[in-house]
Amino acid sequence: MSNVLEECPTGIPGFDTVTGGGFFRGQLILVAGNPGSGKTSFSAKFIYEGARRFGEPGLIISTGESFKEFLFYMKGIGMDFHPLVDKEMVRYIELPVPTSREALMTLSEKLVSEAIKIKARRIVIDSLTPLLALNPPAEVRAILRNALKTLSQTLNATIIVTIEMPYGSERVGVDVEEFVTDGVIKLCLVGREIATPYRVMEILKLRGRSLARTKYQYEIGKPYGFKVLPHSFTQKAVSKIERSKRITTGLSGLDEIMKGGIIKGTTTLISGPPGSGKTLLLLQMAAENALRGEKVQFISLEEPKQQLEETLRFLGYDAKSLDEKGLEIMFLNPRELTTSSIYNFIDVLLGKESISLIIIDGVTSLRREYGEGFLRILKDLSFNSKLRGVTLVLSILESPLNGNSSYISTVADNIIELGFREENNRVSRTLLVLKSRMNWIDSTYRKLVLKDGRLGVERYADEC
Amino acid sequence: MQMNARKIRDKLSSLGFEVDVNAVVRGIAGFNYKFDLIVENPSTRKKAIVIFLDKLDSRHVIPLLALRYDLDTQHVILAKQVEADTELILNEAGFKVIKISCGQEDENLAKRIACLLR
Repeated sequence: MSNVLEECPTGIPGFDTVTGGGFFRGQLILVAGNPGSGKTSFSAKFIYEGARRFGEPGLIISTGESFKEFLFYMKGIGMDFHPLVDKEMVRYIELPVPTSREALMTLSEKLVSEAIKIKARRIVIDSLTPLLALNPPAEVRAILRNALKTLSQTLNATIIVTIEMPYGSERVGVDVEEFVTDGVIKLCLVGREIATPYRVMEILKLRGRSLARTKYQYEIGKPYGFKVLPHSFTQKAVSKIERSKRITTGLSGLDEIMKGGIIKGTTTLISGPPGSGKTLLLLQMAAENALRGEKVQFISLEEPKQQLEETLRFLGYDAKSLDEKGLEIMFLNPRELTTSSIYNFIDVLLGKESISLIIIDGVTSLRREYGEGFLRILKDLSFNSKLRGVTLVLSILESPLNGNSSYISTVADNIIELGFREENNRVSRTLLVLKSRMNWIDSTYRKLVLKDGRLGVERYADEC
Repeated sequence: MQMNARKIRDKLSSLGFEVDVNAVVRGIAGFNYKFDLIVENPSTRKKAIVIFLDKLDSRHVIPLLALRYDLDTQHVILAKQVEADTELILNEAGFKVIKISCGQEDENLAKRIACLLR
């Protein structure tokens, strides 16, 4: 007898990648989560892809939704179960919320007879909570550990059971479920108090898999249904940074400080308060690179395209001719972006072979929408850019010198801080290169000036 | 079924086994379970829990499997009607399922239980 367990890839985008293959046949998996966190979607996707891609019949026993509701909701997020149900690849059983301990016998009858009938290789019980509520914890342990676990092995099927977790509760199950299953996956809606809460999946346990990390973001919706967002750190990281190749900052004085410009494939943060010149600097950088034949994507999260083109004209550039040379300007409204759309957009963008520089102006607005998820987005963006050898330049309001925002600096290879200085009753704009990985740079304040219609960098008089 | 239980008890007793009818057993989890029969071989201390059912079918699978976890003892199920798939699952999980055929003598059933405890 082989002592190797049969693999059971879930087919859920991203999940099999981050877990190194998904589940194993015969495992009992517990999926716990807050209301609305996506337990049904996760389980449904497991069944859907099993039937559709792997030809494995699936059985869903639901104590919550009617068949009609299930079909409707799932179709709404990109999973059309109709053809699979018609082909008898998927069977959906409604199990009315039980009011007595006889419920266990009813569950048993439905699960065993239907699973055998369709030769189910994947089974979902969504949710087990009403049944567990009728039994004391020790009996729950017995039901899970022995009954469902034995069944999963006897039927050679992988079973997912879902369990409700009230908001605010850190406990996964009634008491002991997490200790007696092969896998425990927790789904949470994080940051309900911010404009765009995001979803986090925590893989607390998965027997047979060594997980590099346990927390991942996920999204629910078309076209995937359920998708675990790719986390860069799980990929084989081969950075395409080219130290010998430089991307101009658009300001000769700044290029000089940075020993020839920004190293190709690195991530640069331009920080500074409003009015300090971030957008001007970024536009000049974009224009100068386009003029040198680089393909540049300029994304603003704050200003519409037309306004940016006007600013380019103010700097003395011909927006139309820059467009022809390879500068593409785009405005994205952060309020309309979901985490999923951001990652999809990044994938598409970084997938463009010719692109060499991506500039994103106003990244701080993402923080307002995504709270602490903001840093994760930045890190993934930066990491993925490095993998593709694309230079990334971002502008933010927060100063990395500010204690509350110092964590942002971990994302960047280069940090250029803009600011203000008062001298002789006049305020001048300052520029300081705070950090430049793979370089030893001169970190003294310079003056950011507008000279002959273009931005430039000068030394302060007291320094000369 | 109670007639069966009593006759089987008598037969097993006559064969030297210790037998309790309607016996209450405390499981690992601390719950008390009541069974039709509990048979013990006094020399080997091997025990069997005997459950009588009219019909054994898929409804019984999960409760029986759960029960087995709480009571690590040989379980014997005697039933007049046995669903084939259910029997297969329970056999694989270590249950002994005995179908009571029409006209089958209780003495024979008792002997089959006795065999399990030798």
